[in-house]
Amino acid sequence: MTTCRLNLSHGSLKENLKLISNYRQARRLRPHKNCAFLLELKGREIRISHSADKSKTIRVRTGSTVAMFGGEFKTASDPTNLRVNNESFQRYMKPNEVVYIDDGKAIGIVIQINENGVLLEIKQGGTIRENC
Amino acid sequence: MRLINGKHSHFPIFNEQDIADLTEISKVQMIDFLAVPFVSHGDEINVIRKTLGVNGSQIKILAKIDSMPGVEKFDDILEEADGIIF
Repeated sequence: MTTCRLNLSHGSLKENLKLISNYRQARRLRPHKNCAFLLELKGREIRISHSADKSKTIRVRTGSTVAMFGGEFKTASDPTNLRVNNESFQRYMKPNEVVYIDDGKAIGIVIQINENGVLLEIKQGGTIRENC
Repeated sequence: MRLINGKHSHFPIFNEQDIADLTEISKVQMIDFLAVPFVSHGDEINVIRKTLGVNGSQIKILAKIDSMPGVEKFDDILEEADGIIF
């Protein structure tokens, strides 16, 4: 192994500090090895909370109206309520903007913006994964 | 939800938690590279470098180009970053 890569898209830095600590210990124990550490930030992305369904997916239907909002990320999302890990994303959204969910598995248009989030009209329904 | 096709390039690259994380990262030794996705302007790299400060000055910053705004500002980003990931 020449590089250890840790992606912060999956958990916060705080949650991953133990992994970083393990890496540091492993490296100290192997001074003859050369291995770089690459930390990747999550960048511009919003994640949807977990699904209450056993399939760990959320099926949004074409033509349905879906509320997307922040502040309740620990609560499950469902086909009409998508809870996200960002409480201010709506400030940067515009009416009629296209939103691609789970890399485009579902596509919606912003039809309303309020202080908690946005309302989307689903133009192309699909099955999206939890925490995507 | 991935914000793709550069349609959300006006969305801030960092929130308050990210800034707090960066400050924490600068204190962690042995981090060699920091990869930053969805970079759309060279100034964003400067913000990261300033936030990392002197403690994190040894960390090389790799800009990930994964949106059209990033492609359009490629030269500008290349000027500021230590490396590029396409």
